[in-house]
Amino acid sequence: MARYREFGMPTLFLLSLALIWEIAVRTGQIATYLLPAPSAIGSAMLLYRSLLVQNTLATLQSVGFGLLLALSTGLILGIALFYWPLLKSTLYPLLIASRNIPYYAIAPLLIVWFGLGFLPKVIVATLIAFFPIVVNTHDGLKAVDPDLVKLMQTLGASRFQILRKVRFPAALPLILSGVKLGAVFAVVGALFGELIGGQRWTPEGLIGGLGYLMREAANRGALDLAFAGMVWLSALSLALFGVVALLERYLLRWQISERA
Amino acid sequence: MKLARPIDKTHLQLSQVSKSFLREGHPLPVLDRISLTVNPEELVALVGPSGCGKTTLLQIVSGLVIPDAGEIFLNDARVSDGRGPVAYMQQKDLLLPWRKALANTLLGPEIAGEDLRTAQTEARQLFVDFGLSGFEQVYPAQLSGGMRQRVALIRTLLCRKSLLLLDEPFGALDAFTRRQMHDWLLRAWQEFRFTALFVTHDVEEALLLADRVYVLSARPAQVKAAIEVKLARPRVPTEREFVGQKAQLLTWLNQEPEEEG
Ligand SMILES: Nc1ncnc2c1ncn2[C@@H]1O[C@H](COP(=O)(O)OP(=O)(O)O)[C@@H](O)[C@H]1O
Ligand SMILES: [Mg+2]
Repeated sequence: MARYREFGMPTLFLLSLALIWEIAVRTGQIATYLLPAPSAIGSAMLLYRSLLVQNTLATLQSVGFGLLLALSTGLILGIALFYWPLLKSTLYPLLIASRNIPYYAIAPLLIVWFGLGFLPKVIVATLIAFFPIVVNTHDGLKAVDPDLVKLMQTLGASRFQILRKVRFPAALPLILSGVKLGAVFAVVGALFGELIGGQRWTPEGLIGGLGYLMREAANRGALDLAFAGMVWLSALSLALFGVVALLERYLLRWQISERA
Repeated sequence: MKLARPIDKTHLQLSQVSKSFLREGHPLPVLDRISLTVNPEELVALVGPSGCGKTTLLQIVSGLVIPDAGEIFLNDARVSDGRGPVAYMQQKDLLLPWRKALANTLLGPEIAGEDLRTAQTEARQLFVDFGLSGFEQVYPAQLSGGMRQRVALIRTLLCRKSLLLLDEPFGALDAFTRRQMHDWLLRAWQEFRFTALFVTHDVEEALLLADRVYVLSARPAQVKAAIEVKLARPRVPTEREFVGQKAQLLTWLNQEPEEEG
């Protein structure tokens, strides 16, 4: 019954919204060149399915690479900031301040520097996914109960043993919530790179990722295709979030037993 | 039960140990020329008002805090940072929540790089002896306070240190569980013959367990009295001699107006 409440009501709400939307478009309340009917979006999804899948894979590639890069550099820098006070006093304030800078704004520059290909998209995705991961890694390592560290010291543990056996596992919940945020950010970053970025020719047509596809479709008045791209993008974003959430459930299974 | 490697005999001696902390720029004297002795295989209790410096004293012996003055001898060797054959069990059980109970107890051997198979066999035996069988693969959050404390005690024992420092080890437990823990501890002590210095705020606990009780004054702590407890074990709190010693101990403790702690 709780499941029904959790998912049933929102689904019902969305379905009725779609129904009202469909009726409004069909009865001519809204012009189709402004807003295609859900049924039209549905048929566009069928008609262009291979183009959509190709572009989704292209976006997934940028997002995946971006997130992996952000994760590895973010973890390393987060740990370095924690153990190296000079680095921290130099960089940490800048990191916190720069969280408010819209990094996708540098995408046009990256395209000037790195061309229209894959690279600028990955860089934008990496840049904005990186911040929550670095900051949460550092903060998580720092928030560890000092008595646990003392315990390890009296057992004769080295700094590396303390990091591996206590600090890192204790920081993991915070790190993972940084990664979840980073995953969502990476999608935004990659999308922005694609919106202003380029494409490549394949037998399927022009493949430049979902952002590119949506831009081109909208420019040509094919709003049904643009909306179909948006549906795929949402699905991609949700799937990515779901994967990280599953990973979290597995890695933090001790917390689940804590709640029970 | 047997440990694969027998525990060495340890003799601890503190001589004129003093310590001050800095608080808001002013020195806060905490320990004032403390001298005490713990002979091999002895259980020695520290009692004193709360905030008088008992935890600081244990931390000095464990090497976490460096004294300002005085000397510490372990097995007649002078130690500067205390880090040696000492296992320190804090007031909190400090189990790692992401490790199951058994894995928590293996922390010491793991850090020392010892053979984990042997350690695991010993740990499993200790789980049985401590009434914890069936709870080896359970996360600490699912254990009761008394069980967690026993897991922490097993972890401390498996460090195979000859001197145990126990800081109010049973302070957070209800009276009934605490009495049970005393039995566990005494049984483990009869098996392993370790040496222990422990802090308690429970006078009865001190007399039930200890061979000697040091009574500390309020901060800065000085040794007010060292009371030898010559009663045979198992001790019974209602016996006349026990009651007499308890009265004596309380008199020493209450010679100043501070609340006991
Ligand atoms: N690291 C420290 N820095 C400053 N003051 C401390 C520190 N550790 C303990 N103290 C102070 O020393 C006094 C004794 O503390 P503690 O040894 O924990 O007492 P007890 O264990 O007897 O209750 C307290 O007033 C405490 O605030
Ligand atoms: Mg204390």
